[in-house]
Amino acid sequence: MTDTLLPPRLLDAELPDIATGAPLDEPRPRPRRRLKELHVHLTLFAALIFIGLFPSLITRHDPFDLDGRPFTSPNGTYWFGTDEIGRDLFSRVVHGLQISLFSGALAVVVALVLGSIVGILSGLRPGGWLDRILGIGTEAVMAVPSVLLALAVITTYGRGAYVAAIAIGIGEATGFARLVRGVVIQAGTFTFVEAARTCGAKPWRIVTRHIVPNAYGPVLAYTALNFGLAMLAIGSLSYLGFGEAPPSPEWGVLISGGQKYLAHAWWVAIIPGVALTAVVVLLNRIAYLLQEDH
Amino acid sequence: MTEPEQSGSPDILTVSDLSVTYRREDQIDTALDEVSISIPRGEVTAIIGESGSGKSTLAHAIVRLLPINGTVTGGVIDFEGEDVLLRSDKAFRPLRGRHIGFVPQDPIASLNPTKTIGAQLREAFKLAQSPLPPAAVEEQILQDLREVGFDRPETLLRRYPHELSGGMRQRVLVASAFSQRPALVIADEPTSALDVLVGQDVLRSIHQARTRHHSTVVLITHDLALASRNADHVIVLERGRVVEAGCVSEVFAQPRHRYTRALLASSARVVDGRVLTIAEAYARRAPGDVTSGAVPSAALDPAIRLAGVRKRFGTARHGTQAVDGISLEVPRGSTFALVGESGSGKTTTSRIILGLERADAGEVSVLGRDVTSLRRRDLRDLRRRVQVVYQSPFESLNPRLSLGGIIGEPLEAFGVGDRTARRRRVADLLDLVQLPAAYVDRRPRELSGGQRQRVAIARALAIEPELVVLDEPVSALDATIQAQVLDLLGDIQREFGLTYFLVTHDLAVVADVAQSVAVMRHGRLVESGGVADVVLQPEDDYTRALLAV
Repeated sequence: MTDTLLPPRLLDAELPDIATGAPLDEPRPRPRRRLKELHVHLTLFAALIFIGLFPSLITRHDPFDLDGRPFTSPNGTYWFGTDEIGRDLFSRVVHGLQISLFSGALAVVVALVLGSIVGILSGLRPGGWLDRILGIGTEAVMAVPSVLLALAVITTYGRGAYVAAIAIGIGEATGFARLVRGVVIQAGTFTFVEAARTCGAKPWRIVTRHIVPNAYGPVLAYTALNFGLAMLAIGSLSYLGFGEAPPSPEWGVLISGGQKYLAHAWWVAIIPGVALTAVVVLLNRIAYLLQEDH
Repeated sequence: MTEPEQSGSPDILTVSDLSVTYRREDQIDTALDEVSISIPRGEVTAIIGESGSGKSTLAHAIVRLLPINGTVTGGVIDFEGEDVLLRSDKAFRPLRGRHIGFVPQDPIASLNPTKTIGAQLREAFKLAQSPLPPAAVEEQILQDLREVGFDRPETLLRRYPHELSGGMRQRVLVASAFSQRPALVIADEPTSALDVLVGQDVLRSIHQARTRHHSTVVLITHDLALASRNADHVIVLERGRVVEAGCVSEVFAQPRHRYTRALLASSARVVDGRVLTIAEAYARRAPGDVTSGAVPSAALDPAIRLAGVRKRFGTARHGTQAVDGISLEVPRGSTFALVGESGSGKTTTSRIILGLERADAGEVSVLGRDVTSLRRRDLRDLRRRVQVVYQSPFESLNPRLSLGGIIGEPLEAFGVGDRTARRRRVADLLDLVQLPAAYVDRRPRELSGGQRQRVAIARALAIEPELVVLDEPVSALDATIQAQVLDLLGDIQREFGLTYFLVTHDLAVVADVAQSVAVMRHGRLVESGGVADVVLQPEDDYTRALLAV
C-alpha cells in the first residue's frame, strides 16, 4: 500500500508513533532470514577452522609424499588430482588452508589490537595532542603501500607466511585505528556515556562497559572483511615469492607453482585459486551480514 | 481515473472500519483496529491520543505515507464520495498535494537540504500537475509565503533549508501544503518539534491559510490544550481504537470514556472544556498546595550559587555567547526552575553546574564548593553529591545493560558496599521508583518511556545525592506519564530533602513543582523570583508571552 516512489525523506521522517520508542542507537534485531544465513556461514567458517586445526583428519595422503603419478586429473583416489611431481593436491590444499587461515587470523588480530589501542586513545580526546600525534603516525603508515611495508619487514626478518602476516597486520591496523577512533567519538556523544561520567564512572570503565558494547558492531564487520583481505594479501606475497616458499602447500605457492601447467593440467593452479576465492567470499559475506544497517 | 467532485455531503472524509497492521520481526502488530471517523467539511478536527495510540498511523494511512512495513488490512477511506483505497499508488499520487495536503511533524527532515526553498515550492506545483503558467506559479508562491508570515518572501526563495529556523521551515511546509488549495490538509503534530511561541506562529499560519482557502484541517496532536484551542471537533484514539468523538467543547467538558477522563485529568490546563492559562491553573490549585514542598531554609548556605557566569562557544568573532552573565541562588531543599526556549542557554548553565562545561568567567559554587577551580578528582567527589536526570530516557540508559546494572552503576563506580549490599540497594531503589523488583534483569528496550525515566531517577538517587539536576525530565513523556513522574519526583524530594535544579521549557511544569524560577533568554535572565510572583505577576514581556501560551 505504501507509495515507495515518494521522496524517502518523507517516509523516514514520519515513523508511526508506535515506533517512536526506539532511538537509532539501540541494537535492532536482525531480520530472521539474515540471521539464519549468518548462522550457516559462521558454521561453515567454524568447520574450516576445525579442518585448519586438524587437516590430517580428512586427508588420506601426506601433502609432501610423492605417492601418485604426476598430473593425475581429479578422480576417486586423488580428489583434486596430483601436481607436477605426483603429490596429492587435495591434501596440499587442505594443509595449505591451515597456513592461509592462521596467518590471515594473525594479521587481523595484529591489526585489530593495534588499531583499537590507537583508535581508542585518539578517540577519547579528539583534537588533543595524543590524537594529533597518533593521527600523524597513522597517516605515515597509510602513506606506505602495505605490500611495500610487508616486503620491508620480510627482507629484514626473513620469509614466511607468519612474518608476512604481522607486516600486513601493521599495515591494516591504520584502517582499524581510523574506524575505532570514529566509533569511539560517536559513542562519546551518547547521552548514557555522559550519564556514566556524572555517575562517577572512570574512563576505563566507561570504555569497557558503555562504549565497546555499543560500538563493536562495525568493528566486527570490518574485522571479517579484513580477514579475507589479509588472506589475499598473504597469498599474493607467497605467489610473488616473498611469503612461504615451496614445498610449503600455502595457497599462493600452489597457484604460482601450478600456473605453468595451466594448459594441460588446469586443476593444479585453479583449485587452490578457487579455494582462496571461496574463503575470501565467505568472509566478505559474513562481514556484510554482520553489519547492522542496510 | 476520475477526479473527485465537490459534493454536498457534510463530511469531506469518512473512514470506516480501517485496520492497519505493522509487520515486525516476530509478529504482526495491529496499529489501527476497525477505526471509523468522519471529518466535517470546513472545520478543524483534532485527533488526539498518546504515543502508540495510532493517531499518526491514521494520518499516514489517509495520505498513503505508511512506512514500508505497514499495511492497510481492511476498511474504506471515503474522500469526497470515492473510496481512495481502491486507487493504485500511481492513481493516488495526484490526489495527494492537489486535494489532500500534508504538514509533517519534523520540519528538519522534511525539506531537501540540497535545494532552495523556491525550488521545493515550485516542485509542489509540478508534482500536482498544476495548470498554472510559471509566472502565475511564482506570483502565488510569494503570496502564499506572505500569508504564512514571511515579510520578504523574495529573498526566502533563494535560501536553503539550513539557513532557516525550525519555525520558518515549518511555515514553509504549511505554505507548501496549502499551495494547491487542497480541500483537506492533514497536519501531523505540526508544532511538537518547535518551541512553544514558535509553534503558536505555525498554528496561526495554518488557521489563516485554512480560512482563506476554505480548507478542512485535521490536526494530529498529543496536546489537549492545543486541541482545545484550535479545533472544533475531537477524536480520541486509544491503542488503535476510537474511544470518543465529538465537538471539542462537549467532549472536554463531559468526557464519557474513562481514557478521555484520564487524559484530561493529566492536563491541569483543560478544565470543564476550557483552557486555563498557566496562571489560572496555578491560582486554581488549593492554597495549601501552592506552598507545598520543603520550605527553603535560609540558614544554610545555598545549594547553588552562580555569580556573573559566562560561557562562549566558538571563537570571539564567530560564536555564540551561550551564557551571558548569570547570577542566581538556589536554596537547599527547594526546587529551582530555569525556564527558557531552545538556544536560551539553559542547558549550558546546567552543564556548568554539573562540571561538564567550564565557565569562561564568573563564580560557580555548588554545595559550597567552587566548581570552576576543582580538579578532576575533586569533581568526582562532588559528583557523589550531585546527580542528573536527562531529558530522554531513551538515550540516557545504556541499552546493553540490565536495569540492575544501570541503577547499580554509581554504586559500583564509587565502590559503595559489597555485591550483596549493592543488590539490596538496587532492589530498594526499584521499589522507591515504583517498579517491580523482577525488572532488575530487564533491559531498557523492554520498558515504556515512563518506566525508563523511573530507572533514570533511581540511578540518580542511588548514591544519595543532595542536589539533582533535572534536565527536561518529563518533556519526552506522554501527558499522563508526565504527571506520574512529577508526582514521584515530588514525593522523593519530600522524603529525602533533596534540592532540585529543574531545566525546562514548559512553564506549566514549573508552576506544578518549583518554588522559585528564573526565565532565561539569549543567555540572560530576564526575570526571576518566587513561582507565585513570576506566574501571577510577570514583569517581563517575554515571560508574559510564555505564560500566555
